Amino acid sequence: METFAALGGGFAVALQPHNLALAFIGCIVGTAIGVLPGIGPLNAIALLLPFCLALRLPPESALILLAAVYYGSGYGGRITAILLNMPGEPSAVLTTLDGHPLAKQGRGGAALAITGIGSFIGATLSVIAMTFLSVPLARVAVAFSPADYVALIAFALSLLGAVGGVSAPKAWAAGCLGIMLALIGIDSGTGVERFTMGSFELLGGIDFTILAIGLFAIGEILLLIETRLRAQAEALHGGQRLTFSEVVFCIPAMLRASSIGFVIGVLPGAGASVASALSYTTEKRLNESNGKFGQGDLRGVAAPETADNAAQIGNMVPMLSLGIPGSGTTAVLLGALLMYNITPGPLLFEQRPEVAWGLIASMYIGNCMLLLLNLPLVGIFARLLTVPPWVLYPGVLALSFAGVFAVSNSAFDLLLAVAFGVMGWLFRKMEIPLVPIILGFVLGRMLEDNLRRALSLSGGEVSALVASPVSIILWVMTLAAVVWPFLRKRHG
Amino acid sequence: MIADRLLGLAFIGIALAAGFSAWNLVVPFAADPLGPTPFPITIALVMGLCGAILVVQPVHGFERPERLTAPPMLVGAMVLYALSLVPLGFMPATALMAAAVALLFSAKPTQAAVVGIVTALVLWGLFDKLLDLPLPKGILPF
Amino acid sequence: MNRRALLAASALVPAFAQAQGFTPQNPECIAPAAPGGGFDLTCRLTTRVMQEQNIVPVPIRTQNMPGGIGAVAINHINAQRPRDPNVIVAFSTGSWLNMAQGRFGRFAENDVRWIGAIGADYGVIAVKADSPFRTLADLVAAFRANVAGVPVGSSGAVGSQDWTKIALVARAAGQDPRRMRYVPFEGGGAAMAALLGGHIQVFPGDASEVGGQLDAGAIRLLAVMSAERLPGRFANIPTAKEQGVDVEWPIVRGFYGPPQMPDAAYNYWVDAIRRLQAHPTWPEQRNAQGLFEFNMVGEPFAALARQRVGEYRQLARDVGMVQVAQ
Repeated sequence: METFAALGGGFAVALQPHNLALAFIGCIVGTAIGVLPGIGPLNAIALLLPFCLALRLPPESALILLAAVYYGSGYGGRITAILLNMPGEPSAVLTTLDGHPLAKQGRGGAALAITGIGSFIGATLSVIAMTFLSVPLARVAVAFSPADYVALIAFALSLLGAVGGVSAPKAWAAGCLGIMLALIGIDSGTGVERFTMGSFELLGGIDFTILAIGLFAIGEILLLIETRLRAQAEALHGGQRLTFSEVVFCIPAMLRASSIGFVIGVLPGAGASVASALSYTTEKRLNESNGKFGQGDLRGVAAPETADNAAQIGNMVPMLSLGIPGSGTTAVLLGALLMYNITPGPLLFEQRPEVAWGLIASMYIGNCMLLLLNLPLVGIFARLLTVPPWVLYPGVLALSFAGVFAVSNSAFDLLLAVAFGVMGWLFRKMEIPLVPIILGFVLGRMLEDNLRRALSLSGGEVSALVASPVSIILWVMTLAAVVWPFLRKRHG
Repeated sequence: MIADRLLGLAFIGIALAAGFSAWNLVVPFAADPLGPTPFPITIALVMGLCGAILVVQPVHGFERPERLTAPPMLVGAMVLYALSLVPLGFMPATALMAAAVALLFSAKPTQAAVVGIVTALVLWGLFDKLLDLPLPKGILPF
Repeated sequence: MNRRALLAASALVPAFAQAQGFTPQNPECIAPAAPGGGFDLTCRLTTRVMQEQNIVPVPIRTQNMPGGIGAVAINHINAQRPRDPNVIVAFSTGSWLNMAQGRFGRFAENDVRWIGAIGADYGVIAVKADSPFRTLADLVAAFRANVAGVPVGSSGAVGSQDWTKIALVARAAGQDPRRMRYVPFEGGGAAMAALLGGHIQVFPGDASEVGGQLDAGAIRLLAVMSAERLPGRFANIPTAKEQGVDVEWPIVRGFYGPPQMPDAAYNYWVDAIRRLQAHPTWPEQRNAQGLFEFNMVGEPFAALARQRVGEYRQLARDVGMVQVAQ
C-alpha cells in the first residue's frame, strides 16, 4: 500500500506538464542517439547535463529528461540493425542476426514493429518489478560474487555455439579473436601493457564502438559496393505486415527475455549486451525444432530487443536503491544528482521521494510514449531502404565517422575502424560469423577479470569457483548446454 | 578451398604472435594468483587449434570479388579521409569523401556533389552546433 | 555579445587585458576523456562558470580527446601545438601517476606548463559497517600481521590512484605493497557493491563517491586522506595523519598548458583560475563537481606537481612499475 501511495506521489510529479514535455523530448533524443552509431547514451547524457544546469531545471525534471534519453536509446539501436545490418548500439548486435534477413524478405516493417512492442513489454515489466522489488533485488545483486560472475559468463559462452553459423572452427576462432582484441591495453590486475605493440593510442584498449562500426557498418558497405548492391535490391520487395497472431506467437519469448534482461541488468557490471546475447541464445536453444533462427525468425529479433530494454531499466535498480552505478551510463546519471547536491544512496527514497518516485513514474509514461512514437514511425523508418544507395551509404559512412571523431578527435580511431571494416568485409566473404567476435569482445574480458578476481579473493583456491549455490546451478546449466546438442544428435 | 587454408594459417599466425607476446610479458610482481599470461595463452591455443582444423579441413573458398576495383577505392577514400580530416577540415574532407562514395555507388557527378555538400553541412550542424562537439575547421575560416 | 562581455570583463578587472597583452581567441579546453568522463566534467563545468561570471570574456569550447588514458592529449599538445596560447588541458592526480610510470611516452611533468588546480577530492578508506576494523590502526595492525590477508578492492589497475593510496598505507605499516591482495573492479560502483556484498574488506575510494553509503550507515570510513579534516558529513572522520599514518591522497583536478605557452598567455590563465577561486559562486559550483577547496596556481603549483610526480616515480621504481627507463 505504501508503495502505491509513493508511486502516486511520483505520478503527481511526472504528470506535471513540463515534466511530461521533458520526458517526451528525452524519448526523441534517446531514440536518435540509439540510431547514431558513434554516440551512445552515456555521451549524450553528459552533453545534455550542462544544458539542464544552465536552464536551472529542478533535479527531478533533469533526471526525468536524462533517464528518458537512456531508456529511449534502447528503442533506437534496432532500426539500423534490422534495416541496414548495422547496429546503432552494442546491444543491438544480436538483432542483426534475424532482423536483417527479415528486412531482406521485405519484412523489415514487421521486425521493427515487433521489436518496438518487445522493447515496451521488457521495459514496462522491468519498471513494475523495480517499483515493488527494488530494495531486496539490489541486496541480492550485491551478494553476487566474482565467482558467480565467472559461472554466469561461462554459461553465456556455452551458448555461443548457437550463433556460430556454418563452421564451428570459424566461429570459435572468431570468438577468440574478439577476446584477444578486448585484452589489448593495460591489464588491471598487474598494470602491465598487453598487445599494445608500443602504441600509446592503444593503452586504454579498443573502444567497442569502433569495432562495431568497422565490422558492421564499413564491412557491410564494402560488401554492398563489391556486389553491386544486390543485397539491397532484394530488400525492396514488399512483405507482409505484422499480424496479431505473430505478436501472440512472440509473447512467451518476450516474457522470458524480460526476466533474463531485468535480472542481468540488476547485476552491476553485466549489462545490456550480455542480456541480449543470453536471451537470443536461450530462445534459439529452446526452439531448435520449430525455429528458423538466423534466417529471419521474429522471436530472434523480439528476444534481444526486449532483453536490452529490460536490462537498461534493471541497471537503474542498484543506482536508485543503493546509489551504486552498475554501468558507465548510470554513473553519469548519478553524477547528475550530485551536481544538484543530492547524495544518491540508500536514503534517496526517504530524503528525496519526489526525485526517486518521480523518475520511476516517468518511466511508465516514457515507455508508453516511446511505443506510441515508434509504432506509427515503423512505416517511415522502413522507407529508409527506398532512399537511393548513393545518398544513403555516403551519409551512413560519414555519420559513423563523424560520430567517432566528434567524441575522440582521433584520426587513429578512424583508421582503426577502416581496418576493422576491411576485416569485416573479408570475413563476410569467407563466411566467418561476426557476432562471435562481438560476444568474445564483451564476454572474454569479463571472464578473465572475474576469474582473476575470484582466484585472488580465494588466495588461488580453485574450489571457490563453485562455492555458492548460484554458481553451482549456473555450472550445471553450462554443462547441460554443452552436452545437450550431442545427446539430441544421438537420439536422431 | 585455398582461402580457408590461408585463413587457418592467418589464425595460427595471430595465435602464435599473441601467445608469444603474452608469454614474454614482464610482470613487475604477481599481484594476483593467475596473472596476465595464462588467459591469453589459453585463448591463443584455442584459436591456433581452430586455425589448424581449417588448414586440414577447409570448407569454403573465397568468392572472387565481382567488382575488383570498387572496394580498394572505397578503402582508399576512407583512409584519405582519416588522414585529411584535421589538415583539410571536417566539412571539406567530409564533402569530398561522401561525394567519392556516392560516385562509387554509381551516382552522377552532380548528384555526388550535392550529396557531399549536404552531408557535410548536416553533420557539421548536428555535431558542432547542436551537440557542441567541436570539429576541425581546417582551411575554412569558420 | 562578445564585445559587451569583453567590456564587462574589463570593467571588473581594470586594465587587465592591456597589462597582460593577451586576450584569448577561440580558446579550447581539451578533456582527455570521452563526454561523461571525469576530465570532461572538469572542462565543461569549469569553463561554463568562467564564461557565465565573465572571468574569461569568450566561450571556451571543450574538445574531447580520450585516447590512451590521456597519453594522446599530451602527445597532441607537444607535437601539434606546443606554443598555442589558447588551449588548456584538464588533468588530475591520475595524470601525475601516469607521468611517473612513463605511460605518456617520452612526455612527463616538464613537458607541460602547470596552470593551477581548481579543487581536490580526497581518498578515503572505507569498510563495511559491521567490519572488525574500527580505526585505521586496526587496519594497519592487520596489514602488519599479514598484508596478504586483507582483500582490498577498488576501481583502477595496479599502479593506479586507488591502488597507490592503499599501497601507501601498506608501506606505512612497514609492509611491501606488492604483497597486498588487491582486486581491481570495473569502476568504483562495482567495488562499492563488492564491499557491501562482503567480497572485499577494504575499499580505498574517493570522498565524493561514498557520501550516500556513509549517510545511510552502510559503511564506515577509517580515515580521510587529507591534511586537515574535511567539512560536512566527513567532519567526524579523522585524517590518516591524526591516526599516526603519515599518508595524504588529494585527487587534484586542474589544468595545464602547452610546454612553450607564451608567458602572457600563461599568466592570463593562471589569473583566470585565481579569479575563479575567489569568485563568490565558485564554492557551490565546485562542490557540485564533488571537489573540496584546493587553491593553488602558477609557480607554487608547478613546483608541487613536479615534486609529486617525483615522489610517485620513486614509488613506482620501488615496486618495479616504471615502464620506460628515464
